Amino acid sequence: MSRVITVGGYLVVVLLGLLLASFSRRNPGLIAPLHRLLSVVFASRSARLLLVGFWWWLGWHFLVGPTLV
Amino acid sequence: MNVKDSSSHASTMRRVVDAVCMGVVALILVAQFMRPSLRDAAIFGGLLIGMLVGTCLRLPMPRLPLPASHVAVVAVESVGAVLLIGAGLALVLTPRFGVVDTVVVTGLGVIAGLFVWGRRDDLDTARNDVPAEQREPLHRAALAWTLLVILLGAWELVAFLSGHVPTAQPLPAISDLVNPLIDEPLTRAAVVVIWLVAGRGLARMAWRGGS
Repeated sequence: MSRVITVGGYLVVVLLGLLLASFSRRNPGLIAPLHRLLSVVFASRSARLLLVGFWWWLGWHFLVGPTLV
Repeated sequence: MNVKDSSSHASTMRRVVDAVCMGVVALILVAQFMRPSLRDAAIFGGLLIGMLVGTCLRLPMPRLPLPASHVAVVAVESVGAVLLIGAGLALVLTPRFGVVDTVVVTGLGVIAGLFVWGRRDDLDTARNDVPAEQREPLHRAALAWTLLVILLGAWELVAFLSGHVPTAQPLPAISDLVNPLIDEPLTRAAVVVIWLVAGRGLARMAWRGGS
């Protein structure tokens, strides 16, 4: 049961992300779309390092470094 | 707001963004020590050092002269597409955790790093270029996405901590859920494609901003 709740929590976050992305694309005057936000945020080198670095680490984590040993 | 106030506010914003980014990396670094995974901690430690050198110390570091002309952009995009397809095939068709995966992922990291480092740090300019009517929607978007990331991080933390409480039933972390999927060829291919497409988008954004 706890596992179901945990997985459900992850799915809720994913669903909220999809809803937020969709809503912001349709209502850019209320909430800026993600690509618009990133175009400003990515002017910061530290933000670029954080986001691209985390993306790269996900690949490393799942494809190169065994995660469950 | 006069020009001096605007400039001061922009610089303050840049410092806040730098501090938040370094704080997030520091938190992930601590989490990796607690897992414990010293190798992953070293990765985020390196990232933190890169941020300190690139933002706080503002040392003059060599920058990659990123191509800007139309022909150069098309050439880089074309070569990038070929590289990504090759990388995708290698990651899907070779054994997981093998030498090929290590070489490909490391190579992609180096290329992405060049794009990340190559562009100037010009948050102040980018912020000042945002039309006044778009600033509030941008602030709301930043707040909403930040809250979502915090929610995900908190949920993952609960799952992580549950594994360290003797009386509690361990809850699955994201890694526990995704790992079995990557062991299957089809879902592994899907995960690799999603990862590569996301990386292409981020590197492109890091290189050219919103253009």
